[in-house]
Amino acid sequence: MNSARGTANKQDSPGGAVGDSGGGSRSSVKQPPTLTSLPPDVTVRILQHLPIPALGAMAQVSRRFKILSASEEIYMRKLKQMGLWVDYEQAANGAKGDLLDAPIRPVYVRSEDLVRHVRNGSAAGLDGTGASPYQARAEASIADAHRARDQFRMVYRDLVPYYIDLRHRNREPRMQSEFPDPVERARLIARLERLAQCADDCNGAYAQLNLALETASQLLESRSLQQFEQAYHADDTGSMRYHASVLFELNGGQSCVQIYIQMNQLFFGNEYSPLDNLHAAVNAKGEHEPLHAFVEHLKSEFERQASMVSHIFSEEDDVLFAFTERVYEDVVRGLCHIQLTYRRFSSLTASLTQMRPRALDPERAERCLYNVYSPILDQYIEREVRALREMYDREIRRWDRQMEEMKQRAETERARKMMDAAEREAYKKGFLRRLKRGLQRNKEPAVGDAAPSGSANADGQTSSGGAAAKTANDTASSEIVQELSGLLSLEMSLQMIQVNKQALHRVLRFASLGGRAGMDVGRGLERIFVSLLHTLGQRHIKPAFDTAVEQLTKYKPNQRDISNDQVQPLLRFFELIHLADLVHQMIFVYYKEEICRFVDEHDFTNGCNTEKKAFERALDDAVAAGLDRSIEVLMEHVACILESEQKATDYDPETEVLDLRPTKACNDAVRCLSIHSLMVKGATEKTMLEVFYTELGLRFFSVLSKHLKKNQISETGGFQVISDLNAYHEWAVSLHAPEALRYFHALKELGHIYIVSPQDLRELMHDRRRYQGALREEEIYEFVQLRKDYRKIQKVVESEKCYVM
Amino acid sequence: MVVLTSSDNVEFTVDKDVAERSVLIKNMLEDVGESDHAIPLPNVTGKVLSKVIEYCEQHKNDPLPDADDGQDEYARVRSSDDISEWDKKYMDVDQDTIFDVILAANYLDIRPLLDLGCKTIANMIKGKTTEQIRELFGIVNDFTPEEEEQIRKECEWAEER
Repeated sequence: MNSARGTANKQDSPGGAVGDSGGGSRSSVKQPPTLTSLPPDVTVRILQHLPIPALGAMAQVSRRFKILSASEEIYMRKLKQMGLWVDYEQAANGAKGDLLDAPIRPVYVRSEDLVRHVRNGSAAGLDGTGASPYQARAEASIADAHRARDQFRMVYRDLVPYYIDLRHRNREPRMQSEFPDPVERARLIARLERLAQCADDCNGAYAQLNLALETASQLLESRSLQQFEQAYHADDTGSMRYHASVLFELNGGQSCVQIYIQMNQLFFGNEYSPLDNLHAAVNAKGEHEPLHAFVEHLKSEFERQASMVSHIFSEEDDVLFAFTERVYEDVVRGLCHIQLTYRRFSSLTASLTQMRPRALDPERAERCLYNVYSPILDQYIEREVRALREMYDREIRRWDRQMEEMKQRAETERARKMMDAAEREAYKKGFLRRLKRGLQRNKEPAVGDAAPSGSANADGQTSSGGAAAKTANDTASSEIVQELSGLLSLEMSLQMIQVNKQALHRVLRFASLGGRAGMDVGRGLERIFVSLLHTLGQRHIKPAFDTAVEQLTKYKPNQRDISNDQVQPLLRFFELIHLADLVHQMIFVYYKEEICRFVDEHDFTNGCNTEKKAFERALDDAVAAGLDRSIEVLMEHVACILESEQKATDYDPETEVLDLRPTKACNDAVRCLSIHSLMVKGATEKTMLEVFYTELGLRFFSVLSKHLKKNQISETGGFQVISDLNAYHEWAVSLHAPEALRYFHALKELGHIYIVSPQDLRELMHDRRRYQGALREEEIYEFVQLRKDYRKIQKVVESEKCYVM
Repeated sequence: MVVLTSSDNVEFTVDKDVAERSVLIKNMLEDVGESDHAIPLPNVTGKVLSKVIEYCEQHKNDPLPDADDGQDEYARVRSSDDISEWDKKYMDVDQDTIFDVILAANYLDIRPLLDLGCKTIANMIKGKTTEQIRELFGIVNDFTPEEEEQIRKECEWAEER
């Protein structure tokens, strides 16, 4: 119980004197409540609903109601209702005026007193501290501080005669004769209409008066509108301005603004037909002539309006904006077309914010444009992305089909011409140059050109026609590319990037729309770029690598093949790496030059960046997997060369003649190795290349070791071995892979074990520094066993070994 | 569900959203949280409380008036004849009950009901003379004849013409 009361009080205190009234009601529970026993605040609430005459009657009922019906709240509310309420501070500033400027009548001479009163009064009423609200009112009444009531009474007294006067319908109303100026009369009527709300007690006493008032209002409105229209047709801006101000006083003047806008010729059709554009030629700037003329016409009309509106209407009336809004809704929307008209209207909008003497603020002007275009923006981006995907899909299919055909012919054209490193480098550079040039070239027309090539078709179908046309021109050069790899098409990739860029630029034209549209554009940009990455990554590069790896896996070296220095699948794979790298570079250039202008490179949440990363990762993985397989293939091939070409007599010659050139097997193997290892150079990033070369060296080392161990080596053959090992070492040096080189260095040193005397052998075998830890003792021992005279020296060597151990 | 106890110990069990029409009860529930204890309402009799609950049931889905619109209250043009049919019928009771409901609405802080009551009384006052008003509400004229003459003069400006 107690807690309930406590809460009640706590919550009541800010709500005015309700808590107090709770106390009042408590006592009244015992006996039936009456109007007199209601708390003062509640009574005032009732009085607020009363019209003025009833308030007058109430005041005479008893002392209590005399005081309560004089409450400031009641009259403040009525003044607000009439739109005459002004802050006391403001009222203090305005010191002159007449009946029609009632809000700033000098009622509040002693405004400071007044403010104090209002503050004190409301404080007493609100926080419930000190005297009871009733007490506060009583005191206020005694102090005669009824500013709001006094003010209202003055206004009421002044206005009511004109109101009552309307009762005499058969003579001219007083306001007609006393306020001949329509502007003043309009203001009076507006005031009277508000007054009627305060005076009317809803039982019909004033119904007649209100009707008469309404009639007077309508009469003035229609007459003024009519005169406004006449002035409009007579092009008399002064007169228009005058009548507009009457209407603004009367009821805010919306009717006149509407008429002013509606009468504009723009909405009655014009000589420009959008259909003309279908037949019209495109001018030098890539615009349709009739459209251009029409937009110019609109522009000059806007300029005319800007000056007219500034003569007729005041700034607050905002007529220029209303006009613009209407033009955009009615005229521009009809021509609203992403492809054809957006650029024109967007520049028109920009010019609207520069007009004199009045201009639109840029934000609202753009909103007009946005309202017209945004409904089709989503749709447009969707269509752009779809068109892009379709085009990509088409291209990929075409490519796949060609690949299929090529495969069938391929058997007969096995020996294709491969480019050497220099040629390839030049070719690559040429391609990148073309790409950059393409990006640059397209940058300029895309800015000034509303309709990119091929997209001028009337239904706004986004274009891939331009690209298709280019394909035809470039097929000649693209033939070479296909010959080159047969797996990846640079030409197609380049084309895709260019088409992508065009789409991007078309979408970016809407970046200026801002707001939700800006986000749409951002997402659209993302989707466009991602569609490129997906297509090239998933549907072009990945299948190419899959095919190449598959070919590598299938490859088995045989005797017939080793006559050829080049392993076809390997070469194709290495070419593929080059091409993929080139595609990657092209995308990188595109990303840097185009995407980065709108996307923060370091924003790792952006779809463009994540997808680009994913693309690169996938490419690296594919390259790594392929390289791994290609090393195996290369090793198999080299092993096969060594096996079939290394004659038993190579290292164990029958003659004693020394030929210090490497053996044919060695020569062939080294040539094969260097051809292939060189090919990878520059194809992929440095670190991966290092890993690759190291791995290549190590693997070849083990192949070579195995191979050597199959031979028997005589002393003369030992020299041969040394010269071969030197050749291998030389190749290893060219790898620039220190880790691998260590092993070949050790091998080179090892060669000496075949030409020294058994006595020196011991020293050689145990000189660890010589082999740099690359060869274990057991291995060295195994190599020693290859000596033809091993049986003879076995004892020495083994005993030595024991000795060492 | 919330249990309310009137001053004469009548218990009412009502839905929470019905009870929360009363800002007083709503704030109490927020302060003390849900509990099985009945909420005592010592200023309202069972008869009046059931009448008030009837209103709250009817209006339980209305949007709650803003807590701090006291300032705008004046700006809002309110007409005393925009009372719905149901509300009119609800208020078609004897004067005592209307005042009871007004007091209860004031105590329980149910602003729309308070307004409804005030409008109803205002509508009863409209169009009546001073004497008729006194008669209607049983008010004693406590003016001296001189005072009466003075106030009559003061109010001339407001007289119906």
